[in-house]
Amino acid sequence: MKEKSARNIIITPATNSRKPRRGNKPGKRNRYAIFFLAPYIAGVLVFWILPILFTFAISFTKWDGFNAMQFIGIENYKHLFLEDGRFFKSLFNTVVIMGLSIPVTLVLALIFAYILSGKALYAKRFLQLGVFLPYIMTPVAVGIIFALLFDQHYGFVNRILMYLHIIQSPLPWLGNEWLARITLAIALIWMYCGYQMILLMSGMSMISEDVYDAARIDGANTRQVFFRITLPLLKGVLVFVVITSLIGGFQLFDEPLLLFNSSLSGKFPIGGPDNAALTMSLFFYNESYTNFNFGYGAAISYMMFVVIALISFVSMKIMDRGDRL
Amino acid sequence: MANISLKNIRKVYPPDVTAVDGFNLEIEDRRFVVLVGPSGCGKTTVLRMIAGLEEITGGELRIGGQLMNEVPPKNRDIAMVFQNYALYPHMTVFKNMSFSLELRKVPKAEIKRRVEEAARILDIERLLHRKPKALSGGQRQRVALGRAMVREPAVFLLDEPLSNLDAKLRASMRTELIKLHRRLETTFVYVTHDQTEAMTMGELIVVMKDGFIQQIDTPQNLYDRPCNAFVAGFIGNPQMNFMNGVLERDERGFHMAFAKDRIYFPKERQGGWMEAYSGKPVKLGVRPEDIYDDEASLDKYGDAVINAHVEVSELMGSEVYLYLEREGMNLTARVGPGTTSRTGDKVKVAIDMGKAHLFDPENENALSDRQGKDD
Repeated sequence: MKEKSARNIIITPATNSRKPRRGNKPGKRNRYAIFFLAPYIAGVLVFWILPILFTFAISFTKWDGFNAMQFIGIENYKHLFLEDGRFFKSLFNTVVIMGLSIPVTLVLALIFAYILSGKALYAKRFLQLGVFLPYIMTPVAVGIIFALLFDQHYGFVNRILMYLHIIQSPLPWLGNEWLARITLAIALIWMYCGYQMILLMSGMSMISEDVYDAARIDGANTRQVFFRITLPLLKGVLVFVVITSLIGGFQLFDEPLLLFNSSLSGKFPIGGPDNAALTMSLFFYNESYTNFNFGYGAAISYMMFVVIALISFVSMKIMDRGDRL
Repeated sequence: MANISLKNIRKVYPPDVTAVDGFNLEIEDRRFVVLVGPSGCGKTTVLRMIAGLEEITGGELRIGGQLMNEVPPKNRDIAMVFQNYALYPHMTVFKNMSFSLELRKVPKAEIKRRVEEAARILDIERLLHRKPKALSGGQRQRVALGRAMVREPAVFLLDEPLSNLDAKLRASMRTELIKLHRRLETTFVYVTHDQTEAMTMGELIVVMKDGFIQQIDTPQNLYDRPCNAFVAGFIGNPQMNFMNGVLERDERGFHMAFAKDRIYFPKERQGGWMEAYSGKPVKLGVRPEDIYDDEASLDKYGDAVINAHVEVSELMGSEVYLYLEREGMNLTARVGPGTTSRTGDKVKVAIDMGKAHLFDPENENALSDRQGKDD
């Protein structure tokens, strides 16, 4: 085949050399391609496209998963937006928890990355590992650890704070609406700081030493080097970290579930006190798999999809603009 | 005044790697000085010590008479051009060039004037709003030079600035750098491993090896009077030929004796100084252009003719390189394009012993200073 097309090119040098190839047993190449792609396409169809369509279909029904589906039109969506306050509450919770955790995680990760990228630092590897370790911990363990640490009566955190006379009486960390959100944010910061640090460190290691040398000769001090050289050159990594954090934030599920509903702290409803830690994923899970409202759950998941798509679109626009700057 | 004085400069990297030792150099104001040597000879380390990017372990560095050992780079009144240009990737060309002036809080109008003037000189006015990634290697090079120029520094430090360019561009940038030096009337300290760059650009060349200075001299003197076999071999392209033999004397005078050949020094080159080395092994150094294969030269240098086998003959256009072999010794000759010698031929070649160099085979130092002939 190769020889044939080569000959064609020689014979018709002035015309588009790809033209003859197209007439050469049309479809044969495509058939091979489809054959090799088939397993993947089958997987996508069965596990992606069908569930997406099926979910969309059942979002217009009332269905508990066992009995017959009942078509109810846009009732689920109406209930979601107009009657059930939990949807907007869960959206609000998710945004608040992200707002509390993402900026702090990023700043801390940046500080750790900057310090631990320093050349002559004692026990550098050990410290890197120390910051990174929480990330490889399973959320179950994190939930239990934080439930223990922040327990109102036996928790370590309250004891320390009282010992240091910062607080007079134990704080109900897991029992108060805002304290619960803060506790959850602290757990998230602790978990993801190391991961972001590693990403930022790899970004920093990509910056040429010569650029720093040039900046020193140009007269920049440490602060100017950081803010005018390091930080702008980390923009790509920062954008990546922020976008993945945002997307991850909307999928926040296991940490709040386990923090407030593990065997140790099982005294709270599923979203924590007064649904303060009811994230969108948790709301969806609760409706679908605890209350068996699959139709309603499907409507929630579609709304989540819209929100995440919107966020991704906006972030991509920002990234695009950043590239052109 | 921006004369640079380096006294007994030493650089030791922990734990005990000595990169530079006993480095003494006086650079007069407005000179173009080239530090040249093979990779790892310490030339870049010296430059970085002058820049203040590398701490000086021992010795004194003075710029314009002022002790600079502990002075931070920004206060040394220097500018540096890096091998890979080290432009700030996130800034436009204009910003790259104006960054140092902004940090110094130079008024905006003045910044604009200086950047535009430098851009005009370097012919990069059209590129001022581009980012480095949208520039070719040559253009980046100009921006890097421009960034140094706007500072109006007393000293320009250039670290192999042409090594990332292709051969043609490198040749034209060499000329431009020479012109730029004349125009700016500033001290240039230029580091390169390329002897052609050193020879064509340097007013004064410092040849380095293993952290030590081998010779400081003008290009012509380095070529004509290398102080040792290393300098002799490093400067010049193709490289100088070295032949190990014995310096002997017979009724026709001093000559080099090899296994089968005897080649005589001309009368005017013979001198009492040779007496001391008589009968001892020495290393003979002959530049490729001092080996001839034409009839006239074979007659002229009849006392220094050897037989050789042409292993390869390379036509370079205006000249021909002959790679010769004789008794296990390899020689390169640079002859005229009219040569009749071809690959595989057995030929006779004559050596102009009047221009030959002698070195001590032990310490490689040049024997005699050729006083009898040149001075």
